[in-house]
Amino acid sequence: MSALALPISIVALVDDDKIYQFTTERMLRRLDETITLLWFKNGKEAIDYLAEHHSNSAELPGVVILDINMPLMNGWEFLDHYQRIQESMSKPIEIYMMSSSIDERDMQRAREYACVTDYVEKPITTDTLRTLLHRQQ
Amino acid sequence: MSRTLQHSLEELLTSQYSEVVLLHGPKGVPHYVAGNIEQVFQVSLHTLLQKAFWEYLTPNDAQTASRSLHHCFKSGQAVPTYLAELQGSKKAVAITTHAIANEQREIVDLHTTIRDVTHAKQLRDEVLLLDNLVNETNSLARVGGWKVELATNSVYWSPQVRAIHEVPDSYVPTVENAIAFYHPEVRKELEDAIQTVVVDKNVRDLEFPFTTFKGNELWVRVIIKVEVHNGQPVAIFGAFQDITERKQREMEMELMISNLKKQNEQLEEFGSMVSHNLRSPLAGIQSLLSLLDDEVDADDKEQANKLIRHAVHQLDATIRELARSISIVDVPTASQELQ
Repeated sequence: MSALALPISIVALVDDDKIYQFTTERMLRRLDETITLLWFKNGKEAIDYLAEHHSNSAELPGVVILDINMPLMNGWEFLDHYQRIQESMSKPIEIYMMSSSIDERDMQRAREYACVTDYVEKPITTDTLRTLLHRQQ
Repeated sequence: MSRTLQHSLEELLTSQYSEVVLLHGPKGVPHYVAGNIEQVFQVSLHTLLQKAFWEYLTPNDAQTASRSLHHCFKSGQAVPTYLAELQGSKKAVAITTHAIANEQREIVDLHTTIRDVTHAKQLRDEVLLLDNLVNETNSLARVGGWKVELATNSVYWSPQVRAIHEVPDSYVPTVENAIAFYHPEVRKELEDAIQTVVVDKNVRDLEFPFTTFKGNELWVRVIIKVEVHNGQPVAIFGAFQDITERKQREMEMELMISNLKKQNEQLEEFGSMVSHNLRSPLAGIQSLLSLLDDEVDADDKEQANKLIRHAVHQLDATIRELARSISIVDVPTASQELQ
């Protein structure tokens, strides 16, 4: 099990799927036991959190793992909202869209958002997570 | 006007006719003959004086001529000019007979003029053939011609244009009532096109919705051209065509394409949704299996197994739903939808 300290301390998972909440949390713990996972079941919960803590960099995640299909506010709507508040964030946040969709149009659409770092297909694995989080160094 | 038609008409105007004048009694045997005997009858003067002139005509025409002579001699009424054919030579002749009376007003003789009109008849037949061909082809293509004299604003419509408008024979078209056949929303476009054609002299080719005299809704194509004399526009004229069937087919095609696009979008949406609903639990199972590859405590193992079972149920439900929703539906045709 890796004990390498990750360059970030908070990761946010925006996904309504319990499986991903469970697997992401366990995989992150294996990578770094000190890391904190914030779980939001939809885009609205995540936006509310970011807006509330925008000035407090200690509370903001360094990475957001964002699903597309969610109730209340989907991944695209989250991105539209986030673009409006991005400037006010007190630290840079990397956003990864992670979805089970293999539709090329979704991938292309994700690339059109400047705030999206990459599009990653599910399933998530420990190696995928490690690669993503080490990019922050 | 086509060059052939123009040529035929000019020839008709300038043709020289061979003519024979006869004086004879009611039986038609001439006692006096003058004119181009040999050119018309192709016999000598002596031969022509031997028998009734109508005997040179085809049997039917001979009968008509003979009866006319007797009637003319009895009544004194002139026989209006009629056409006949000379037997054997196929020559066409125009025959006119007048009665000659003495001072006591008694009919004493008959005066007949026989004119060789073979060439003129051929030309007339050509013109009739052309006219018939133009009318037939215009009728097939549902196209006709129209003209407006700019000095007088007088309007001419060809028979096919009148047929498309469905106007009665007594209807007299004017510029104002002609424009009133078009739908109100396109009248200005038509009026503007007419005005600009007169100014820039470029041909306009337009398509408009249209209501006939009898109230039938059509689509028509209007081609407008200006006629110029000595640099001045003197008339506008052009073609007028009923394009309703073509327009109907175009609209059906557009509707069909639009329906196909819509169905394609729905199919893509359906495919994307199915793909997501199938891939999502599958990717979840793959993640959980990846987690279980490494060492995990008993609680996590139990939780992972529980989540795998849940994902498998989700997959099963999606596949059942998919099987249920795939059914053949009766899609209406474009023409049914248009109706």
